[in-house]
Amino acid sequence: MTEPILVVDVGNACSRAAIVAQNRTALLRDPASERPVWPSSMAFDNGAWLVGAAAEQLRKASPRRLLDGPRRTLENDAPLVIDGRDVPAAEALGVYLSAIGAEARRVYRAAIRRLVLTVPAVWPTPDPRRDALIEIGQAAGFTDVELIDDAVAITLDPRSGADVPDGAPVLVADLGASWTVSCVRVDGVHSQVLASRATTGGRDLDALAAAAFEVLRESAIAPVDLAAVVPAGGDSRLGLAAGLEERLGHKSRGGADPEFAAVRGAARWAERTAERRISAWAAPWRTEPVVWDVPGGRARLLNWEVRPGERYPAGAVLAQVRTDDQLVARLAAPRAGRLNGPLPQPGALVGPVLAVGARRDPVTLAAESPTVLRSVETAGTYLLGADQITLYECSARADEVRIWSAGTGEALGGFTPEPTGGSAGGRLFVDPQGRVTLIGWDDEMGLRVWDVASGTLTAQIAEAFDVRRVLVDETGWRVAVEGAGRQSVGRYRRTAITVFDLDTGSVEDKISDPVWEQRNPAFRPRSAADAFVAQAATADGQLRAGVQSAGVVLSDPAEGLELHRMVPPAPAAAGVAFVPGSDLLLVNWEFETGSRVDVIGL
Amino acid sequence: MSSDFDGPRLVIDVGHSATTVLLLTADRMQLLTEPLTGAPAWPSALFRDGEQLLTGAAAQERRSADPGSAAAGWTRGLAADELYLLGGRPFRAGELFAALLNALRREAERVTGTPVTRALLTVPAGGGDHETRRARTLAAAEAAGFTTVESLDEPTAAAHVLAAGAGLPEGDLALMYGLGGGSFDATLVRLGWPASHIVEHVRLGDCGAADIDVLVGRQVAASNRQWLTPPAGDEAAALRLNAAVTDFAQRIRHQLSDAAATEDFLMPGAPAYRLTRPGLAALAAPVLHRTVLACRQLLARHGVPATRLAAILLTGGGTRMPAVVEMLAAEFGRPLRRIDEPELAVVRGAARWSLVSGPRLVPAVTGAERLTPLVFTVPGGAAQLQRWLVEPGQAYASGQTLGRIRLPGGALWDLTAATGGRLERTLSGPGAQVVSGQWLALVDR
Repeated sequence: MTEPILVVDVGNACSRAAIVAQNRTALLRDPASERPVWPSSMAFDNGAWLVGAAAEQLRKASPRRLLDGPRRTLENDAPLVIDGRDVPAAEALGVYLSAIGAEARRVYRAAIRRLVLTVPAVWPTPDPRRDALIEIGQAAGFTDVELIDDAVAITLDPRSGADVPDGAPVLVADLGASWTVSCVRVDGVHSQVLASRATTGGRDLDALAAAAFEVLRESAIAPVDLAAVVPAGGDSRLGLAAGLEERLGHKSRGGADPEFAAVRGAARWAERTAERRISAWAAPWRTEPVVWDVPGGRARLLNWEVRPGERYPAGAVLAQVRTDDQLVARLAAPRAGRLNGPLPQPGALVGPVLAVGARRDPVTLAAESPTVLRSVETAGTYLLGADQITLYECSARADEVRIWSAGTGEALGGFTPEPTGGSAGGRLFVDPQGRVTLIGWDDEMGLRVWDVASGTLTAQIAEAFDVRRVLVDETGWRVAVEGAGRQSVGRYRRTAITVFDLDTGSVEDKISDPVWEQRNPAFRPRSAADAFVAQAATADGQLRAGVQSAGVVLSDPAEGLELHRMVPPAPAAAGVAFVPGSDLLLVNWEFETGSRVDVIGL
Repeated sequence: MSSDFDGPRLVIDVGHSATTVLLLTADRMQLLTEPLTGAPAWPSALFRDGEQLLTGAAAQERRSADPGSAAAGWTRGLAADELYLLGGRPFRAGELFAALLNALRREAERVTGTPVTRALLTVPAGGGDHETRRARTLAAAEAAGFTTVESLDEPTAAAHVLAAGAGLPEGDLALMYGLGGGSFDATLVRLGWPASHIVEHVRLGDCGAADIDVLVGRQVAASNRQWLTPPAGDEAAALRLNAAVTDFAQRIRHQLSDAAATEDFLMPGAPAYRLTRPGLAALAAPVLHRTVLACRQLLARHGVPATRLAAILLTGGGTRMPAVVEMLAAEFGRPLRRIDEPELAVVRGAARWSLVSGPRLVPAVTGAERLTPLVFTVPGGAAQLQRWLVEPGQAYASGQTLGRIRLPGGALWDLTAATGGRLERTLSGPGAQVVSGQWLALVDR
């Protein structure tokens, strides 16, 4: 988080503010009193506004000019009267926030454009007062004005100790100038107020307990299910907490300086802006936008001329709209395809741009060759994870494993096994639990097994010596090593196969049989769990990719059409995979000298 | 795939007392004449015959015998969708409208032998009641079986009748004087090609030829009193007599378009009723003076003296009255342009407009197929787009914040890029409500 944020908890009697920047929070002091509490007072003096302690000081000299707290003013929605002059409530609150903002900028020595304001949890959502508060904040010079319910802020206060499991209900008793009880489902930045109400009929334990039970009933939460009871606000020092504990059967968890719980919690919320982020979805499979600039900027959709899924040719009229000047315009298709809902309903207002999704017609691929968006190369080999998107790269000497997102080319991780000397090799396999595993071998260390995700060595088989070939049974988790055993003597080494258990490293069998490999098809030189396969089809069956002797062929099974053929530059084995939920085809070419994966956009 | 754009279409001007219709096919334009009389205009009247609503000349004819089952002048009740009682059964103005349009559509289909589902209807210009009337017009046309309905305001249609040409230099000002059955339209235009530009248009919705007929009818009634006394308590007879007088007055007015004086009989046994052109002019004076005043006020608002007008164009059936020509010549002293069938001016202008106003085919934005929609899951399902933090055309990196949304409670959330790219077009602007799965923008990856 880089942008500075001003946090203000506007109270009926007193307000508190803090500056959050570079993950640090500093309380903002009222310059007239040097205290971190700003009286919620305003006064008009000699044509200028005074707020906070400065207004309070004026009160002593001229009591007529004292104003109500800004929030109380907003809730009453009545203008303030100052020296016989009406000041709209919104304007008064704007002046108050502007003054705090000016002091914050003076202290921070830079512009602060973002404001977090606490709002009473008793205000429903949505509520015009919330909108009014946002507008006031914007008018006071803040570009981004954010609201947080005060009860939620209190649960986020690090000192109130409400560190409860995600999703747990917490009862907040905010005992400031007014008393409010709220039930909050605490879930980090997803926390929400379940119910909230102000006490009625006096400021005593009975009123408090009555409000608490009412809020719990509205939230459908039994007292025994509460994760915590959190008192806050100045009156929480009155010792009512113990009484409330007794009534609810819960120990309360009030922290130090309860008056500051809301502003501290709101500051914590401000610090956590990075958690309030939503990442864009992956592009939908072979969906292309069809976009029109609506004539006149706005129109009413009359009807769709083709149904979703119905094939249309290039130039077809897809929809009719009625423009503001009552013309009926037809929207034409740029090229062949099928509409791929959802579509705006007839009668809906559209514009200035109307964009809908169309499923790309497979036949368009015959006319326009698919493009290779990216290629990655290695002298070693690749393995595609079961998710058909995570690409594992193993270097030729098995001294480096890298993990990529095949969709974006983004590096996701990797590890470097402890280097060894001598001739070495290795390959990636998948263990019976589905974990990608590196099996590497060399002259000195024998055969070693690493878990790729954690980079840890899980087994070492020193007896595997002078390895020539490695065959792995991924189901039984055994390895067959073809090579000269250590027991061989003299210059005449005999080719032998030794089978080891990959979990224990123990020898299971020793064979000298020239056709052993044919008899034991479970043992394979490369992973059978590799998501690169010889034949693949898209989830909707629209496209098929297959490895043939001449290369890789992309076809439209419905039409029986070959759409595109990819031929490698040198003899190569190939494997193909479609990335789910995107319009990407992956082709893995294994040459004599190394491997290449092409990422092809369809 | 059905598209009726290339098929035949109707251009319809529904007036207070008469409706005119042009049928446009791929290669020609023809008047859709009234099937019984072959007249260029259809009476706008409707007549209820049992479960059936008769239209055109058939309705007009039956009306004299049974005015209580007929509706005339109902276009004035369109905006409020007023109720009309036809033989004791209530009909909304919109229903009557739809019935008339349905008859026009069926006649057009009989003539062409193909379905006719496209219509262009002229409507009064302006907001307020006229806006409502426009909406009812579209709804009535759809109810009448037209699937592609457009509307065009009457002054724009008329402006396509008067184009710059010989004696009418481009850029000069001209006044269009339109006296219809139920309304008067004055339009100050700047001459242009293929259409003139409207400077300002005013409309008097209660000042038409029908209002002159009422004044003539009063005089007819005064001079035929003994013939116009219905049997006591016979309401139907009273209605019949009233309708007969109105029709008679209209007939007298039409006769005086061609003759200097006319003599006709309200009833076979009644004495002859005589009226001369000056007599009609005197009767029509209250209505015509209002139109002249409206024209003078219109010109004065734009500081245009009458001498600056290149011409005054007469449109609408009401301008067939010689009294109109004489009065305008005397009042403004400018050249008057008359067209052969002034009651067809609006419908002809609308047809011309429909031919010159473009193909109405909106091609898709080219190159959009290489773009990718930007879609997010909004916490809680819906939020308000606060603003975009990346401008269209701007490149962004993987993980960069692209936009900011506000949840209903007031919290701000950031929308971030999953991969790098360039923002091409935004599909929602600040303040718009957005939901999960909605396309918010198009990006180039």
